[in-house]
Amino acid sequence: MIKNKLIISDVTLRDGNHAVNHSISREIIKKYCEEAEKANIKIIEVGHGNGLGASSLSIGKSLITDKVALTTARKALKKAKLSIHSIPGFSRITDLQKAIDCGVDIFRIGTNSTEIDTVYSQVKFCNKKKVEVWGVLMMAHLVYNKKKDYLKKIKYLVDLGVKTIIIMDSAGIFLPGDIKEIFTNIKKKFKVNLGFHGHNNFGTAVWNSVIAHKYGAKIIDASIKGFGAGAGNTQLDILATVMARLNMKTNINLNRLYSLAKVFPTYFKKNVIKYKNPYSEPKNIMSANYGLFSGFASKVDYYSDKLNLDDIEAFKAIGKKKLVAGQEDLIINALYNLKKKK
Amino acid sequence: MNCIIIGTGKIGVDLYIKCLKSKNFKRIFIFNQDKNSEGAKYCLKKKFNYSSKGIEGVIKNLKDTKIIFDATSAKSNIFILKKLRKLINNKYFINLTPSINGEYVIPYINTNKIPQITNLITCGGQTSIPVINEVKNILGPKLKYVELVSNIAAKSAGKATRDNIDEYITNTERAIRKITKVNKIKVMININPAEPPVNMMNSLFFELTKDISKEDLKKIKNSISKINSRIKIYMPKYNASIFETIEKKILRISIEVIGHGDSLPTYAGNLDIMTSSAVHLSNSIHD
Repeated sequence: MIKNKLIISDVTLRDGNHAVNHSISREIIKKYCEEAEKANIKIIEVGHGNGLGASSLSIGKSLITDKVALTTARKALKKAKLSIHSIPGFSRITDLQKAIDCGVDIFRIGTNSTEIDTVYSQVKFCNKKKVEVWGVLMMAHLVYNKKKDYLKKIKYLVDLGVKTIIIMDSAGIFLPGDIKEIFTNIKKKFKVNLGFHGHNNFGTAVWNSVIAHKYGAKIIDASIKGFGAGAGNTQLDILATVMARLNMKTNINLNRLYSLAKVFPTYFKKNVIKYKNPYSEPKNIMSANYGLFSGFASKVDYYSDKLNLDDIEAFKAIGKKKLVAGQEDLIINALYNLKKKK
Repeated sequence: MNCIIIGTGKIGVDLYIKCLKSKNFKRIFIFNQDKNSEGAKYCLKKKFNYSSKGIEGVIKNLKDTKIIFDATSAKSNIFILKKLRKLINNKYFINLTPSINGEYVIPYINTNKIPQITNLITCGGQTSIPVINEVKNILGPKLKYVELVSNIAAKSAGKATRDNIDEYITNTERAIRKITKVNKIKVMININPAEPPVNMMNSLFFELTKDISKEDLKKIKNSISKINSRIKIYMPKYNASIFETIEKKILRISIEVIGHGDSLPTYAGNLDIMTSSAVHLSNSIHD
């Protein structure tokens, strides 16, 4: 059924940071990288949930610096490629240079899909430094419309010389039919490597990924036990198994992967933040329905708890504000106004 | 007096209209180098005193000019100043790009003395530095770290803004350090595609070494109202407000900036505070 080559890119140590308020430690990175490599994972992404340089009071402070995280991962990885996520506006060129110095292999530069042209200077910099640069269309549903605006955004990246593009369903709103349409249309027009990054708010992340692969995605992002922002990501252990059932060779050692999935929660035992299996709560379902960034969930939880607000009411309020990924600082403004009205 | 505006982007065009309204100028000249650009078409349609002769055109018209406004981009600014620096000894050059050329000026802070080459920093800088400066003066060594997140509407972010995000951040941070002497800072920017577009909104986070005292909070509240009333002179819908603190060691202040609505829509407070500050400064320059 599926003929394209498949590479699974493991985002546990980056997107997963959203689930534990960016508290993934040096020890966890080391242990995880070693085990993931034994399971034959090819690409491992590391960093703050919002990527390079994003550690901040507004989004959440990382427990460790980018440099510590990246050098720890670099040391632990022998074969697998080390990748980072970078959003211009949070990160800057000097951060990219630091990441180059730490030995990062893949630079995934992304923005909210509507504003993709803001990747310009970072992509140019990576090209100049001759490092592997990918483009990431975050919140891709914002350009999925009748006018097929996503094709214009892809063209912008292709014209900039980007050879690999990830379609990121940051809100967890896409259904398999949407994925089929998007990938078919891109493949028709562009010769570019494609990838898909799912979130599981509607319980469709694994199947969206399978469909994305069937219609042209070479790279699929996934995380162990779905550990990621909001309702979590495409669950790596399920995805690898399903792909094997579909006779798709990923070279992943499933037994090793299952052991990793079993042991993973124990990594957090000594951690301040309690490990929780990602699960699509009503608020996550609603968040996706509003097309909000999955990563908002932890902030909304924190502030609605402090202000004694119902989390569903809280999501409704920020849904109306149409906040996009990166606007964590305005969540509190919206919730304050909600509180005042009461 | 006479002035020249270089650049016909969103900022250049709005500056032209504000210069007209200010009645300070006998002659306003606006230049770019591409007569087919959107901005050039707008200038021609509105019958502005416009030329597409670029920097050579500017040089030819320097003679009776008192103020040159640079509303191009960070990269063009470096090229323009290279060409002009020796020719503008008795003139004022006001840099509205995020390049680092010129001395930093915030009308709220530097009122009496205008440097010959002025750097208006960035929209985030113009908006937040008055607040950061006052809070720093009140908290002193109790202030550990400052973070600024500026949110602007996608429709108010032109090509120069999008290509210059790094320059924007670097220049804003450099100016905050230089003017307020707060060293541990972080600046971030977000572009919001929501429709209808959102007003420019800035979030400031001040991290303290200990819980904020009632006295300090009261002093800060007072200085916020002083800042609001003084900036409202040139930016009538500038509004800074304190958020009741949830974390006692973190003080949050938001600043909403709504523009005049001259050529720019009112939500583009980020662009408007640049053009308004530039024209406000020019009020204190005379022939």
